[in-house]
Amino acid sequence: MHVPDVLLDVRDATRYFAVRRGLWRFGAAPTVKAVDGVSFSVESGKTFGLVGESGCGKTTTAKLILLLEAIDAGTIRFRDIDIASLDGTALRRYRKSVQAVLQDPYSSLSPRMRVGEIIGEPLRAASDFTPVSRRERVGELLTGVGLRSDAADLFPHEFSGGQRQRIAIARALATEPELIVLDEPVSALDVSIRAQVINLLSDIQERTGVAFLLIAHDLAVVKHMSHSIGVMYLGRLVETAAADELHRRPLHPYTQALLGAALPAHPDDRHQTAEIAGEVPSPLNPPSGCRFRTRCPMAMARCAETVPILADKGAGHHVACHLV
Amino acid sequence: MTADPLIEVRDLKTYLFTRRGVVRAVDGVSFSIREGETLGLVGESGSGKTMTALSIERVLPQPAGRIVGGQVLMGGVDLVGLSEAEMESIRGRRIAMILQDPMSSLNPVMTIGTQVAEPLRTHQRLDSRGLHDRIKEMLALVRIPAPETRVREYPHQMSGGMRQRVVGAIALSCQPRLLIADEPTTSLDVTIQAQYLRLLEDIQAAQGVSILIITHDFGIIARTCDRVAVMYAGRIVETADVRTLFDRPLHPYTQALLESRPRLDVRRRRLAAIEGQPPDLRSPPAGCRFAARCPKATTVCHDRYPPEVTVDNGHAVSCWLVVGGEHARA
Repeated sequence: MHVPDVLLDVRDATRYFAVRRGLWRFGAAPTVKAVDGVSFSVESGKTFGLVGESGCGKTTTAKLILLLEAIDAGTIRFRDIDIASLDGTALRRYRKSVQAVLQDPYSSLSPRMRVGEIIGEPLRAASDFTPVSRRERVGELLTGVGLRSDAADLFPHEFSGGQRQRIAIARALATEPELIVLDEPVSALDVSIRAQVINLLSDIQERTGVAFLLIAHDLAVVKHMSHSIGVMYLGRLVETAAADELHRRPLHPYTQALLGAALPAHPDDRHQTAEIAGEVPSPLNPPSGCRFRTRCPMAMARCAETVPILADKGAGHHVACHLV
Repeated sequence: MTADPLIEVRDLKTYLFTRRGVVRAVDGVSFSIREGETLGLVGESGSGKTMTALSIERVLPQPAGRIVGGQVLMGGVDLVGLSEAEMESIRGRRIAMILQDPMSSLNPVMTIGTQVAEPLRTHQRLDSRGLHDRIKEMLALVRIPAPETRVREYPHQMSGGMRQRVVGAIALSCQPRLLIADEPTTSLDVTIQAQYLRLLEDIQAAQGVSILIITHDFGIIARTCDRVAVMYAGRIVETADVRTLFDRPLHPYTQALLESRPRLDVRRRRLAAIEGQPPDLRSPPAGCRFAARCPKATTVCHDRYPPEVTVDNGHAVSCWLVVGGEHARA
């Protein structure tokens, strides 16, 4: 029996945003429940993929983990310690252990800093580096992501999108993190470059044992890279399972809809695609009960009345649906 | 489907004259689209696929973009040689463009009705009653519920999916023969994308229009196209009907692109990545433009550009391996 080595545990994480209104404010300010009771965990050395459409709360979830947003309710524990309780040295150590690679390598790297400074910056905080040893380490990090070590002397604009994403990955690796949050790491890249970066990330995971929290909307990318997957809809997690299991046996109608809407791999499969009607409702005024019910082809009266909870259906497959 | 091409692009060359040099964005591109057919032009960013589409509509970025050679033949007329005034009567009426992102192509301060009316006012003489009927007819065609009330709304009052339909209605209002659908590289959500592709299919079924889809995504090609042209560094390297291209790709670039896709239906431990970068189109290599990244390249590949060889009915490829190999029959 596989005993999971839980690195990061997210329990009932909740984040509300108050919506600012104009001059005539009557009653309570409306709130957007961006993340509403989300629970999942990331194992050491493994990849957890979080999928869902824009506005589903996957990026806000990442920001909670990166301490870029404050959690309103629930806990996030890293190696069994609540990250909200961290301060001083412990907080600094956490920030070193958890790094991020963002979608757009054009805006995530400072255009005024040389690549060597960008990658070396996180190392400055660590006192055990001299300028010489820091330069050596930057060189190692660059070759580790398939770039030449003399790239350190250049500026980001001298690199293509794929190379910039390699620089961002090298920077994230500088502090030898245990977890890297990858927010749409390849969606801005061209097809032929995308495969290079995906392969690089799996090589790095194999080599360093780092865990990934992968946030993406492309199901094929998420399935390829992840060990387990969580599907989010309007701030809630509707299904989690091992990657293969989720594709073989999707239980939630939304997961089924996402897989059904995915583009075919071959023209002969084009008639298998089926789309769901409608669009994601406004998070300001989400549907009662199950939030997917307004688009669900199988919705019943009960779906409007009670919120389905994420329940274990065996073999680590969790689903929040009254039908299942 | 008749065999007559609706539009024929012959040896099109579109260069961008920039301060940093002349970029040969489109460098000798030829293809044709038949009546009612959907052709996919697939390639990576910088391959020249969007510049090809903009050349057909003659809406190149100014002052840098210029068509320096070739023809775009439609109904016996070469669009490249037309004056701007003559081109005005083609745009919107014979050829229309539809963008995947509806927010960037709708005017936020004009009502839906006014925007659908605009091409009709430009190209067709209709009295106000005829115009009104036509607008409602177009909105109904793209399945917008309650068109009578929708015409008075502004884009922000509609959902994203509805706005996409409005863009479709505008593009179709003058019954164009060719619809160019340019997909941006940033992706839409899967369920919204599926709805957009369904809209294109509905439009084609209703009006029999030919569609040119510009994309980097083989999933979109698999889903929508009859035929495909693969572009690399300003040139078309392979053209085939969609099944042939997926089942029997001949160009190493096409093969590599198909192999590098992460897939839902196949388990792959590693993706077959194409190493390296596309060439700088200010000084493209003399030989095959993919040679530097091609694992099968030989000396001749680096020296001379391969001639296009037709291996089968409609399956054409520019690769020395095919020229010299058993497939050659041309």
